[in-house]
Amino acid sequence: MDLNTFIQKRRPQWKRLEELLIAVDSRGLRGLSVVEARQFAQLYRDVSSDLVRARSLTANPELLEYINDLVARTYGHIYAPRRFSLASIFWFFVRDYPRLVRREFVAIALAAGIFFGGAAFGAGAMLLDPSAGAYLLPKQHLHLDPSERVKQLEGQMEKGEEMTADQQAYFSAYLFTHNIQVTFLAFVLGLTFSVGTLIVLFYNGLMIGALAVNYHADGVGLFFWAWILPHGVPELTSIFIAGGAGLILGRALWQPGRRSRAAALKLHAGRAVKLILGTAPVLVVAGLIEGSISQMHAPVMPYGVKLAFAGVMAVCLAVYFGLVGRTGPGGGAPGASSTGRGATSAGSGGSGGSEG
Amino acid sequence: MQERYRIVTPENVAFEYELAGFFSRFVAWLLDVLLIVMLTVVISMAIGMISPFLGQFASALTAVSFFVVNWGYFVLLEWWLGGQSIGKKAVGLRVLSDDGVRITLLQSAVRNLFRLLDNLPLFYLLGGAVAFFSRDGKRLGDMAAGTVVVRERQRPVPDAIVPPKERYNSFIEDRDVIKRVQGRLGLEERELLLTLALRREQVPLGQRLRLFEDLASHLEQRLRVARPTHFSHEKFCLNIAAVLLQGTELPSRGKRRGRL
Repeated sequence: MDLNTFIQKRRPQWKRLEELLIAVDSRGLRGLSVVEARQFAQLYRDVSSDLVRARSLTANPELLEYINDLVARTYGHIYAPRRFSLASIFWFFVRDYPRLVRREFVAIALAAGIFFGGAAFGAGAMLLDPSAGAYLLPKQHLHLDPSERVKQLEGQMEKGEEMTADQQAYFSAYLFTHNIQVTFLAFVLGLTFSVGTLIVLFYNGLMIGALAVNYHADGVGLFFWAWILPHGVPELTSIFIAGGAGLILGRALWQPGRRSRAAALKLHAGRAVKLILGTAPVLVVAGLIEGSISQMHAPVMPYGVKLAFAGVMAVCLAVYFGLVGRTGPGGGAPGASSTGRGATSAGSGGSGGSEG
Repeated sequence: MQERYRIVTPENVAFEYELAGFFSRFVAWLLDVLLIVMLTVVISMAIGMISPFLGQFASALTAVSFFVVNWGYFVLLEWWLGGQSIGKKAVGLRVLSDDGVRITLLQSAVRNLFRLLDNLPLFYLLGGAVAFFSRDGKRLGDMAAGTVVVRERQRPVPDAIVPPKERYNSFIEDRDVIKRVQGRLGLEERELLLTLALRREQVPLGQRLRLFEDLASHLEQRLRVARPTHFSHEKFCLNIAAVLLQGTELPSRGKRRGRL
C-alpha cells in the first residue's frame, strides 16, 4: 500500500479516535457509552499498528508525530492504574496500615533503637558532665533551671493562667503540621543512604535524653515525664515509623540486590511513603494532646492522671499496630505485599469501561 | 540528557514522548506557586470573614488549611488531574509513570514529598542539578516515584496529510503544470518546497510570509506558471507542493504513488 492510499484509508479512524480522546480527556472513560468504549479500545490497537506501518512507509516527521501522539494519548487511558476509592482509604487504616507496620517492624525497631541510642548517649553525657547541657539542650531550656521552670508553670496554673482554647488549638495545629513535616523529612532523607535519617533520629534522642537527666537532676523528674509522655507516646511512635521509612529507602540504595539502585528505590518508595502517610492521623492526635493536656500541669492536672493518660495512649497504639487487621483476607500471610499499582492490563481498573 | 522518552507498549509498539525542558518546568512551578499563594490569601480572607462564627479556632484553622494547601495542592492535583498540576496543564506538561501510564496517588505523594530535598538550597537547585545529569531529566522525587515529566502538545492534523484532492487546486488536473513541476524542479528545490510546506506552522509569521514570497516568485520564474492573483504566495506554493506530492505519474493514468 502506498502512502497516499494509506492516509486516505486510515484518516477517518484517526479523526474518530481524536473525537473520542477529546471526550475521554474531559469526562474520563466513564463518559463513553459501551459502544464508544469498545470502539476506543479497538481504535487504540488499530492506530498502534498504523504507527508501525507508517514508520515503514515514510519519514515525514509531521505524520509520524501525529500518529505517535494519538497512540501516546490513548495509551495513557487504556493502561490506567487501578481506580482509587474512598473505601480503600478506609481499609488502609483499619487493615492495611497496621499490617504494613508489622511487616516493616525490623526497620521501625531499628529506628527506635537509634533514637534510644541517642537518648542514652545524651543522658550519659549529662551525667558525666552536667556542663555539656550547653551543647545538648534545646536553647529555650538554657536560661531557666528545670525546677524554676516547673515552679513558674505550676504558679501559672494556680493563678488560672492556662492557655485559652484558641491558643491551645493554634498550638496544636502548629505542632502537628510541624511534626508531619518532620516525618516527611525523615523519609526523604533516606535518600542520603539513610545517613540523614540516622542523624535526625539520633539527634532527637540526644536532646530528650539530656533533658530527662537535666530535669531529674533538679528533682522534677515526675513533672518531666508527665509533661513529655502524653503526646510523646504517639509522637515518638510516628517518628520511629517515619525513621523506619527512611531506613527502607536507604536500604534500597545500600542493597539494591540484582536491581539497579534506581529500580530498587522505586520498588521500595511506595511502601515507605505509605508508612509516612499513615502516621499523619497519629500525629494529629499527638498534636492535639500536646497543645492541651501536655500544657496543663499540677495542680489543675495531677501528674498521675497525665501518666495514666500516656499509658492508655500506649495501650491504644499497641492494640492498633499489634492486633488490627490480623484477621480477614491475607491477614496471616507475612510478606504478601501489595504493590501500589493494580494489574495494568486493558481488562482491569480504569479501562473496565472498555470491556462494557 | 536525551530529549525523547521512549515507551514500548505491551503490543510491542514503541512510541515517544518529548521530555519537558527545564524552563517550561520552572514556569509551570512558578504558576503553581503563584496559585498556592493566591489560594492561601483567599482562604485566610474567607476565614477572616467567618471568624465571628468560628470563635476561638480561626487561627488554628488557618494554620491547618495553609498546611493542607501547601502539601495537598501538588499531591492531590497531580494525581487527580492525571499528572498535571494547574501550572503544568497551562504549560502543557504531564507527569507520567515510567511505563507511560497515569501516576498513582502514591507516586504523586512520593515525588511531591521529595520537593523538600529537591528544593534545597533554594529554587530547586539540587533537583535541577540532578535532573541535568540524569538521563530522562528526573529530579530526586521523579527517581524515587518512578515518574517522568513530558511535554504534551495537542498537534493539529498536519495539513500535509490532507490528501491533495480534498483541497481546491486546479494545478492538480493541469497536465502542463504537472509536467513542468515534475521535469524542471531539481532535488534541492523539491526538498526546500516540501520542508517549508511541512514546517510552515513552526516558522514565525514574518519569516513565513517572506519565505513563501521568495519561494513563490522563484517558482513562478522556474516553472513559468503565473500565480493566480487571488492566491496568496503561500497558497500558490502549497498547490505546487501538492502537485509534486501526488506522484510521478500523470493523473489520467489513474494510479497515484505518493512520496510524502
